[in-house]
Amino acid sequence: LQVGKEQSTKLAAFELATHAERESPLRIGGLLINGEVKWALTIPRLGSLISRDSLTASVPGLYDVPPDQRPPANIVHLSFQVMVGIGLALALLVLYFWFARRRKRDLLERPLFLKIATIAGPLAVIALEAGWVATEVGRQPWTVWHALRTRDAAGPNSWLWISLTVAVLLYVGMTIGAVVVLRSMARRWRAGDERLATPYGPGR
Amino acid sequence: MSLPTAVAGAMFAGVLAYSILGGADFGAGFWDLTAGDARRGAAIRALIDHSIGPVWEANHVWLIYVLVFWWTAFPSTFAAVMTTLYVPLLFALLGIVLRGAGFAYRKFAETLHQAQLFGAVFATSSVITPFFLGTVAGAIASGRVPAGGRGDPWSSWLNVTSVTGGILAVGTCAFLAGVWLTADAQRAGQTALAEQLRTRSLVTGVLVGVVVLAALVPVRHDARTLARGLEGKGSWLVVLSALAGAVTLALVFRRRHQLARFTAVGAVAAVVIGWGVAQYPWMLVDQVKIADAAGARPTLVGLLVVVVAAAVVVLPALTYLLWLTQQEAWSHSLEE
Repeated sequence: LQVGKEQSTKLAAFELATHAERESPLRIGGLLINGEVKWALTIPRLGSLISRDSLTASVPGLYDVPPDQRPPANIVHLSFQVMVGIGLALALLVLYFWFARRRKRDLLERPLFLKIATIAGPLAVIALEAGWVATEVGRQPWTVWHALRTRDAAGPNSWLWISLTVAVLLYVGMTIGAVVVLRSMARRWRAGDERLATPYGPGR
Repeated sequence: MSLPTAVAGAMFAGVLAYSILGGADFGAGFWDLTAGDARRGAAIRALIDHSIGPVWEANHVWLIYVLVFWWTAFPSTFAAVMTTLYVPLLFALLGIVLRGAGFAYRKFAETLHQAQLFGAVFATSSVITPFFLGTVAGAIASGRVPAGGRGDPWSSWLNVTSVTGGILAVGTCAFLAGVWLTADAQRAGQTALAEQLRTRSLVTGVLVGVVVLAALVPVRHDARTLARGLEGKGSWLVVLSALAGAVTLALVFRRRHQLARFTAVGAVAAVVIGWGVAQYPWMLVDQVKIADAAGARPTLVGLLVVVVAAAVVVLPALTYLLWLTQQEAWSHSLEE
């Protein structure tokens, strides 16, 4: 993985590695609490294998850098694993579909499969967003790696909270608009209206 | 021509394209806003949706092009403008975001009330955005953005040149869109609608001309460097713009709408190019020259390569799209 060379603390947060270790394990799930990894499912050596292509190469550790250069590990770790987990699950779903198809079983007739396929759409979006969180939060506290801290990159004006609030309200409003319009479109399509004429004026 | 000037020219070509193509787009929103109530405005609004539907939001590629060129090639002046003019820029952004959403939602609204709400959002933000972008141009042109940035967040754009820039931006957008929509209505065979738009376009054209003339006196005192440029090396463009505007009005008056489309574009293009010529060689008027604002040489060379690549990839497709929307077949599909 390129990230280990370019941004070592990001990889450390992905892997929840507290100290550089050879024969690094892969930790699935889990949280870093007071410097200790808890509740993680640990698979020996797999971390080194995935991130360094070797059974023994070391994975960098979070506590090998000063505290003010560490990203918030738990958010980065969990969002990274959510992304990878959903990605793998969706890939397996596709493989399963084609496997069943070769065995002359059409999953499109199974309501359960169709329900899962419906959830796959939102899941893909969640995976995408989690990936953004992993890469952007994983780079913290830097905006430009080892050159500009996020704290120093922020604008001088005192409006940041206001503009953030306005942006959130704006997008909540637009989301409501999108949901209202999309639901009404689906309702009209189901009722047999194919053209969906725009009501520009009364009686049109 | 030096390398920084070439890159600045390529960037300004984006400003020009956005002023004309984006301008006609924003201007359509102005006519939507002023179309009247649901009963009287229905025909105009249907025409506007049909006319700008195919290019909806595509015009913002020019804004993105300009901004990316700006922060890549002239980063310190970009930072200076962003830290000084964040208020009008945020309002322009608000307008851009709401405009696209409002337009798309109205198209598929179920009830008249929904369509009116989304339509009002679309139309209002179509006027807000060019106004605030115009104030930004006015602030730069009148030397109110200090080289080091962090200029006054209010007086930098609340002044006579900026406000004139804003009104001029809204006015030229409305004039451009008015002429093109009139031509669209004529091609679609909607004579009554074309007549209505013809009258409004004529009034708007005269008003914009009057505002420009009336604003010249205070702007001359407020933005001396710009005024010297407009009266000197840019004067032929000012004259050309006035001529093209007058010819456009005459053509619209004589119902030669298809021809008027092109002279209207000429009038707006001449104004924008005139501004660029008048403020050359300043990047930020009275503060930073283009040559001093430029970044590293390899970056500038890379950008020129991008210009060529973008021209090859984007221009043929865009030209084809615009040509298609001006065909009889598309105009007549409004009836269905």
